Amino acid sequence: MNDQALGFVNQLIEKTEQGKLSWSTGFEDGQYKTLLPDGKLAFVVQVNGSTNRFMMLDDKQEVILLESIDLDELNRGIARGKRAALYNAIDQLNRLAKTQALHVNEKLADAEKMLAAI
Amino acid sequence: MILHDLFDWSNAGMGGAGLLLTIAAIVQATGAKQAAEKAEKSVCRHNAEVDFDSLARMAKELHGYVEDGKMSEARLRTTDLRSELALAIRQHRVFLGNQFILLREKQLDLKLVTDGLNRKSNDLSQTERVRLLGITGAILEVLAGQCGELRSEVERGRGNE
Repeated sequence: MNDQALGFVNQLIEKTEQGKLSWSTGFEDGQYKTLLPDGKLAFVVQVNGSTNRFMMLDDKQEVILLESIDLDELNRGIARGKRAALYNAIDQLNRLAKTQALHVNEKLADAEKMLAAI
Repeated sequence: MILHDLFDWSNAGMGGAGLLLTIAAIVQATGAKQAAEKAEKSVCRHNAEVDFDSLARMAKELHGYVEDGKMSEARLRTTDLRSELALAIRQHRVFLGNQFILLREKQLDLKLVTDGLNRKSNDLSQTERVRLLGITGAILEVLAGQCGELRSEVERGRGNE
């Protein structure tokens, strides 16, 4: 595992919570992407089934960092320490990215209003 | 004495005329250089238009394959389009203006689609199929828009000539 991966994911969580990053849906289920303002770096986070993935791409769309961790690794005790922390951090980032990309909070607020109006 | 003065005046006159001729030559050369630069830029812009026209056609084919459910053809087209778009962005960066970031986004979409189709082109979920249609449609729209933008700039340039 690349030691920097956890640092990047934590930074992305922080910037997303501060509303400084804009996430949108990717292609595969559970996949979200963000592009830094000048387009020089892109980040992709994906939670699909039991696998959590994190990817960092350069300006030529080449993958410069890829981490993929399966829940099975955690359950069997193979993924411990930083790797287990990375699994959970990807999970958290994915939830934040999804909330933003799909405008979950706005839609939930709308749903509350609509139900209240019935 | 009068002859000497006359000689000085004629020398000064010749010098002045020479200076004027030099300035005229510089002005003409500068104008020619600017015209050459303008012509070169116009040719480059035209090349960009041709490349983006070809990209838009590829994107249209890709979208058609996705609509028809021809996933193996779509997978091949996506790979071609991805490499051609990367090349076009690198070569014609100067003409892309504000569209640059949008094209970068589409490049990222193509990368994710390529990876996804390579992994499971025949095993897409229903939502992935719908998403793929949306992505390829949006790519087509952006590339066709970029091509149209470049074409109108080329035509505007011709009109100004």
